Amino acid sequence: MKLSARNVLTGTVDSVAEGAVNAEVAVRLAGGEKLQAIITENSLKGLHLKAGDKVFAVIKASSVILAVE
Amino acid sequence: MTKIDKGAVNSEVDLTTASGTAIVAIITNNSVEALGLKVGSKASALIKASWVILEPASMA
Repeated sequence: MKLSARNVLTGTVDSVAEGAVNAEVAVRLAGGEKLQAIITENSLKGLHLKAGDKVFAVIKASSVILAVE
Repeated sequence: MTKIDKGAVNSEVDLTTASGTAIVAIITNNSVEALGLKVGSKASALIKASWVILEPASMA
């Protein structure tokens, strides 16, 4: 599949914390950074995501906020 | 900050994290000015968790 999103980061699922509606998925990126994703329980179940799975984290460039000290 | 491509309204800003991950951000030219961003300057990239889309690698 081709995506227009400029950021497609590869990583591995570290852990999954499930709530009533959403799940928090902790992803360890290839470079070692940690990234959190909030997805619905439906998506979690639909994707069969669990710790250890390889994933792509997709982030549209306009969703990135830059900060300076 | 590795590259700043300025358009009429927005700029595409490329940065590389400390561990080497490349991130692309689109921000307004006004924000580039306000933050004083230049190639080589340091900045943090913030991403709200609910904006992250996950795709299992096995599906690609």
